[in-house]
This record gives sequence, structure tokens and C-alpha cells, in this order.
Amino acid sequence: MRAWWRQSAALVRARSTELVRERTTLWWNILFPALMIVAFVYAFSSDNTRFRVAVHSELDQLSGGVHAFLQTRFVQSRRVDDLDAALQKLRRHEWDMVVNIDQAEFWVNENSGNGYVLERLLEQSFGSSGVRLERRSLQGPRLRYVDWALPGVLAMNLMFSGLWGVGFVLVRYRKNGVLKRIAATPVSAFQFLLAQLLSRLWLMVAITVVVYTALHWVFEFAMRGSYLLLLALCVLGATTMIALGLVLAARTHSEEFGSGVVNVLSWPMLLLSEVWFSLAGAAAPLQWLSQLSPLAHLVRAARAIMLDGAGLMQLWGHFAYLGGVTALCLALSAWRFRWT
Amino acid sequence: MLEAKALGYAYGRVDALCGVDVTLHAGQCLGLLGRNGAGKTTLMEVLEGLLPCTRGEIRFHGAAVDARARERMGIMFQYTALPEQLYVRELLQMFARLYTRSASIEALVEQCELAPLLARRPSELSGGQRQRVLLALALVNDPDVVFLDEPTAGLDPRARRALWRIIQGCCEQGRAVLLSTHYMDEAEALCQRLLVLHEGRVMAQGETASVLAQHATQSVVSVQTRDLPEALQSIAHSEGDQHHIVTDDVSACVQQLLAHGVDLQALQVRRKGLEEVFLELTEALS
Repeated sequence: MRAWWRQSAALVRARSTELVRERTTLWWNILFPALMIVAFVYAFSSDNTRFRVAVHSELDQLSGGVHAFLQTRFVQSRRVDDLDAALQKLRRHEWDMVVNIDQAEFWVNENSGNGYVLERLLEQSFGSSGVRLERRSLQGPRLRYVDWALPGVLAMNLMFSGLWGVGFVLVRYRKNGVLKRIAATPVSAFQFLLAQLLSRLWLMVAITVVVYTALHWVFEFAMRGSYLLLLALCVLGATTMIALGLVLAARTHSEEFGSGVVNVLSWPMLLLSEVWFSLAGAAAPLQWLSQLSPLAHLVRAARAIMLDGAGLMQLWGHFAYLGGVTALCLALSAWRFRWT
Repeated sequence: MLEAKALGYAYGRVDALCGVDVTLHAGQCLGLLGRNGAGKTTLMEVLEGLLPCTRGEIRFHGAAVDARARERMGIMFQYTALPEQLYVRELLQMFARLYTRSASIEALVEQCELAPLLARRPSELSGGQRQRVLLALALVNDPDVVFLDEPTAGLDPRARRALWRIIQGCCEQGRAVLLSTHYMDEAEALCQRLLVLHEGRVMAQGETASVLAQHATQSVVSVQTRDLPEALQSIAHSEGDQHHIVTDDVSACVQQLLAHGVDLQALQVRRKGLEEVFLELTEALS
């Protein structure tokens, strides 16, 4: 057993040394997500002059006062079915006001300047008609697009590092004979795969922590949940992505084929996982497909921790899915793995 | 030390090895000869336990070959890349940690003349230096048996000689060595025993001297002339003005040359070497 650990530690150390010495890759892994976030901050920093109102109502007709209010120039309204979801968005300043016609009430965020202006407009719209909506309020700091996008960008970086940094490297090692040389030692396939996983895992987690910390220091991202839970999610998510990479590389010989497979897997995952945009309005089959993507579970869980302060009890489904995919992929890769 | 009987291996329906018997003795180098595609690399990988034999059995120190047997095997493949970001010293240390027993790195560095290379990465090594590092990695676990698959292919004579010294040193240390090579001078210089493979079958096997004695009974007479007598042209192998005549009777051949007034200034007479024996053996079956 001691020899087993010594062999595994030697492989982890050697691979880690290699990774750290691959300076270009290392810096790319750090700078790529950081530059994207910086670009988002500047691209989406301009004030939106529109006032966004969510309207929840079972009725087709709106009262005259509400109708007039929603017709006001620069007021953009949309009907919503899920009141709770709309209030959650109001908390994050994604809506400026939520009007609940059925309950004759309106909601504003006490921290929102736009909400304050809309409230004054609403009062004027009713004028002296005597009809009033009951005022309800909640609180929540303003959420920028970059706050929403950050979990996706970090998760995307984990995905690319796992698939390209582990899967593709193994294919290259198989092609140039490095794997065959390791196979000539007493090391088992499981040991080797475990070493690949561990050596990449610590680096991916370290890079994510460094990038998050540095950017948080500059941009003060929203963080309402537990840092420890976020770190645990990062470790689990990174492990899932590495395990996916190991499955892809279990038998692939050709770098061209390997890169094709990585692209085929990564791009649909990227598009279906709400990294850049919400799939709330997307067709049902797309939403169903999105549920299959491990990246989607990682992004949604990270967003829930960072933006909604969700705890483990609320996120157990995401954690269980990622854990299940990881276990399945590791078992598959150990079973299918070939040295040559 | 390592004994294999009636080995067989097939790639699909193609038999790559058929009924091969091999024995490796401590302190001896067995030369594995054969044309490209003869099955040399397959035989080596079957003996190393990397390919499962489809027929026959292999015993190493009296036990079947499994992953644990590789603890005591040193393997150098025909071509292997190495992790490019590690220095030679780190490669030696890493591979040493993959085995339960290991040789002294310092001794290995001295034996393989690696001291000036320790702080270099694989991409910074010449062909000969790279092969010395790969050979050192094959010896890093202080193996009982060493498999060397064409270790000197493509090296200059000086680099080849450097590797020869290390291989001879392995035998002197009591290791059994299986050396696959296309260089007949290398086989003659290093190998106490030879095994010639052709299309997966053993064509000749035995001590180098006895293989030569059995197959190299004739001599080769070489002369340089523009006008080789007509009577000798049919039995001579000619390269321009240089003619090589294989004969059982050197005196008669020389007298015939003299009788035809051939200038004997550049006359050379030698016993047939391993290269001629190898060519004859393999061409006869082709």
C-alpha cells in the first residue's frame, strides 16, 4: 500500500510540475476568464434608461390606471407567470417593479432608484381615480450582468481546462508513446488516471480561487452564500469536468479526432448551460437538454450560492447530479482506458 | 531467468508469432534479429507482458509474467517521447519512485554518462543523449532482465559505441538482456546468443559463434577491377568496380583471379559475417 501511494504521489508531482512549467497554458487559464469578466464590466456598465416592469395577472384586461402607467415612454413591461421568480429578479434589480394585479399590489426594491421613480409614476397614473395598489417592498443590492455572468465564466474555464487540459493531453501522450512508457512500469491504469485527476484538480481549483479573489477585490461581485460551499462546488465541478475529459481520452488515438470530440461536447454544453444568457424563454426540448449538461448544473448551483445565498439543502440536486456524472465517468474511463 | 515456450500471438487473423521458444540467461545478451515486420517488437512486448500471448507460456523467475513482474524488468521501446517539461534528473527520480526497488541514481548517472544532461529537458537532448536517458530509465529499477528494442537505431558510430558500453555493463552486472537490432556488427559485438525471426517463426537460434560456424562456412574474396573474369561474374556480387566473391575454396578463387591478370593490390579475404548469414537466411525463405 505504501508503494501504491509513493507511485501515485510521484505521478501527481511529475504532472503538476509539468503543468506549472507550461507557463503559456497557465497564464492563459488565469487571464482568459479574468479578461472576459473585465470586458463584461465595461461592455455592460452603461446605465439602462429603460424601466422594466413585470406584470403578474390572471386577467386579460388591465385597469385604466395600470394600462396608462405601462404605456409611459421608457417603461418596458412584460407579463410573467411565476410571481416568486419575478420577485427574486426584483431583488437582483433585473426587474425595477413587479405589479401583481390579482392581489392589487405592487412590489419595489427599496435599494432601487428606478423602482422609486416608477412608484412616483404609478401614483401619477392613478391620479384622483381613487384606485390604489397596495405597496410592498423588498431589499437587495443591484445586480450587474457581470455578477450574473461570473459563475458561468468560471465554470466555463473549468470545463475547458478539464476537457482540453486532461483529455487532450492524454490523447497526445498516447500518440507519442509516453503512456506506453508508463505502462511498462508497475503502475496501474487506475493509479495513473487518479494521478492525472489530482494533478489537474488542484491547479484548476487554485486558478479559479485566484481569479475569483482578484476580480472580487476589484469589482466586488455579489456573494450572498457560503464561500466554503462555493469552494466545495468548485472542487466537485472541476472533478466532473476532468472525469469527462478522461472518458473522452480513454481510447482516442488521434489528436484531430480528440479535438473534434472535445468540441462536439463542449460547445453544446456551453450553449445549453446559461453561461451567457438565460434559457428561461427557450423551447421546452432545449430546457430538457440543458438539464443533462453537467455544466448547467454547475453554473446554476454557483449562481444560486453567489446571487441567492442558497445552501446545500437547496442545491443537493445539483451536487448529486454532478457527483453521479463524476462517478460514472471515472468508472467508464477506468474500464475503457487503454495505454496504447 | 526468463523462459518462454511455444509462444504465439495474432493480430486478428494474422499470426505475428508462431511457436517461438526463448530463454534469457543472467549475464548474457540475446540478439533478436529479423527483417522489418518479422515480429521482433511483438515478441518483446509479449515477453514484457504488455501483449497477452495467445498461445504458449512465459515463466520469469519460475512464475507467470504479470504486472508485478515488471518490477524486475527494464524496458526500452523503439520510440518513446518523454514528458517535455521535466528535467532529466526529475525523470530519473520520478521513474525510480514508480518501482519498489530502485538503482542508485548516482550510479546510473555515472554508468550512462548523464552528469552533463541532468539539468536538460528531453527536447534539449541529441539522439544519442536521448537514447542514453531512455536506457537509464530502463535500468532505474535495477532490473534482472532488460528489453532493448533497437536502441541504437539512427545513432552515429560514437553514440552507438557509448550505448554498447552501457549494454555490456548490464551483462557484466548479471542482467539478462534481450537486444533487438538491425545492425549485425552490433549483434556480433554484444550478443552471446542469437535468435533470428522470420515472419513470426524462429529460423535460427543458438550461441553467436555456433550460428556463425553453422551458416558462415564460406569466405568472401573482395577485389577491385574493371574486368572481372567471365567465369567469376556469375558468382560475384558487384558494386561498381568492387566485386565480392563467396567461395568455399579461397586458393582456387585467387589462382583464377591471378590467371586472368586481375590486380590483387586491393584483395581482401574474410570469413562470411553475420550480415551475409542473415541475408542468406532471410532471402532463402522469401
